[in-house]
Amino acid sequence: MERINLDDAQWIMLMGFIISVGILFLAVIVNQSMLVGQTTAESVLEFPKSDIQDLRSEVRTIKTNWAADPDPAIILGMKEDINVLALQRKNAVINIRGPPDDPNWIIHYNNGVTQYDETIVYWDI
Amino acid sequence: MVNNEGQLYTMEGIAAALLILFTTYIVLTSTTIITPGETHISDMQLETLGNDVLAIMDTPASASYDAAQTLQFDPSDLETYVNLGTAGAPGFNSRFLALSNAMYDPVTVFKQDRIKCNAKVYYRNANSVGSVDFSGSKNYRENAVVVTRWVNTKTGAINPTRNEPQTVLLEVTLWRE
Repeated sequence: MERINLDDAQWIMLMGFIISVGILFLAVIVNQSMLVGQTTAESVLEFPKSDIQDLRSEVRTIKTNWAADPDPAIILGMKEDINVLALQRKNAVINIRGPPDDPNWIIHYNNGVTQYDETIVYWDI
Repeated sequence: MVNNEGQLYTMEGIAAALLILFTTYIVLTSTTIITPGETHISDMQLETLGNDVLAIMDTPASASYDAAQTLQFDPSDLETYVNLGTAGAPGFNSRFLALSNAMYDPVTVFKQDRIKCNAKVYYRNANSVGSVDFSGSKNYRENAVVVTRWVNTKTGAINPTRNEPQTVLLEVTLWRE
């Protein structure tokens, strides 16, 4: 009858050891993939990409529809609207400079994590 | 004659066969790495969807010249609804839900998603902020996300204290039921 001798047992244990290391390695990869999903989604959620795009689009709308208006109080009021509402609802400091104070449009955005500054010169001044 | 010679070899062979099959299975299935479901991912997708829908609704379809021959954007869908004041709320609600719930499915062609929304408009009154309900269901669930959009209104009808051209903030809470 065949019996387990010391040499064979050593070989089996070595294989078992190698396989356990392999399983441990795979477990680490699965663990990492969970972390990747979370950090990616969190950084996308945290970065105010659409806030800034929205702000730029709003400035463009204000410029197009109101820059030629004879009453400068309208544009000043809208800048004030954005400033006050952003502080209260978006936790962000938004300052917009533009006509009549400045010929260019200057956007300042800061939500504590991300800061964005831009000077825009529109082609159809 | 059957005897017990080679019994351990047979068992070892079976164990090895199982091990090889199992390893092959693991290798074949692990080539696609599936990120485990995590609430942040669906939040992110819902937020992106909401922002996209609002961007679509706030894009003017055309522009025209006014009396002084200056180019003006025609009101976007969103501006049209807000210009009407709270009377525009039902129109906004149905348009927003139609855009966010449209799904393409090759079998049934059109399938509806289960997104619900609740919208509020925030306006400035001197140095304070006021709000007005702008349609939607109230009973929202967990994992709701908030998306916002600046809306330029020419009438200011949405603001009960200041009826003049102004910029208001539209805040939409959306969630899946």
